[in-house]
Amino acid sequence: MSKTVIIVDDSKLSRMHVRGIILRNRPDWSIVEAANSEELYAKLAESDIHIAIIDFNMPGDNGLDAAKRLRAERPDIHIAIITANAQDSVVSGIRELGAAFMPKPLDEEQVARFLAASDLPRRPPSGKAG
Amino acid sequence: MGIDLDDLERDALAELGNIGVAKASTALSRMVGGAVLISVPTVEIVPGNRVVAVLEAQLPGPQVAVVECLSGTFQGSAILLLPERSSLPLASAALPPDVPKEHAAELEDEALAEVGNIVLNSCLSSMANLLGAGIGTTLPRILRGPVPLVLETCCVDTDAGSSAILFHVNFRADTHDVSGEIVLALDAGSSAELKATIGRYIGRILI
Repeated sequence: MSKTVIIVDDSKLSRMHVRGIILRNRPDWSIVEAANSEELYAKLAESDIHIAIIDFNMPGDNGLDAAKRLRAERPDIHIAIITANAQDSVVSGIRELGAAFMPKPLDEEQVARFLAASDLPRRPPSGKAG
Repeated sequence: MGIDLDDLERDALAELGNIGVAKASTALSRMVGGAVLISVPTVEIVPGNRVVAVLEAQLPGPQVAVVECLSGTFQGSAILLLPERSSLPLASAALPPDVPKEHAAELEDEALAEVGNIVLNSCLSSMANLLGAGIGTTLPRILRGPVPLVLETCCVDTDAGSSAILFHVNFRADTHDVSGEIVLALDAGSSAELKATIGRYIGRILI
């Protein structure tokens, strides 16, 4: 099934990079872009989004805060957070949210695996039953 | 204010820096798609006004810097410092594969900010995790000019009366004719906390 992915990153270049990876692996999927969390929330209503790939280091809400709000509003969306900041506190925050952690520089194989995993029902957050 | 680190603490800091820089160079080498050579990192405690002289001796002339200010256990700045002539080749080498190289000039600052952010965060987050401490970083800023001007604008205290822990390492990516320095200039104000944190780290690894 063709899906829609939203890429949330303040860097246009990074959005181009992620877009390229997605389209190489899933040429028939649609892509929506947002430069910050406000744009993410605004665009949620406009299209039927299945997957969100969110940069951690952004002006305004950071990626983790953006993902928390997204999770609360749309628990069905598969979320990955991309960051070079692999500090334990950041990574555990991402895992607690049940989101995927994707370290920068991005590994195309890892992104492809995340896209493939979105066909499965969303895994519950770590550390919680059910 | 002086910083009083003993030999063991200084060794530990140099070792943490080594590990951090190794992570950073791995990330850089993946981004540019080629080998990145790094020098032996140096860690020294210098008066604020010597920071400029030390770095200027390594990197004379106009520079391009990607700067992130630090908070938490470390205060000061993390800087990716490049001679101006390396700036465009590095930006170009780090462009994603599907972005045509002729766009490098127009995307130069954005590409450098991304490279700087990844290199600096790779280094800092591995150090933070080993120390069991949090290091906050701001968004990357691009600064241009000679070393004194860059340092003046980027949260490094360059007064003669202050002192800084200066950690720096030279890197080279010969295939792209790119070289530069990764610099951590840490503020003396965070000295007591840093000393305690390094002490706990030493305690953990010497068990």
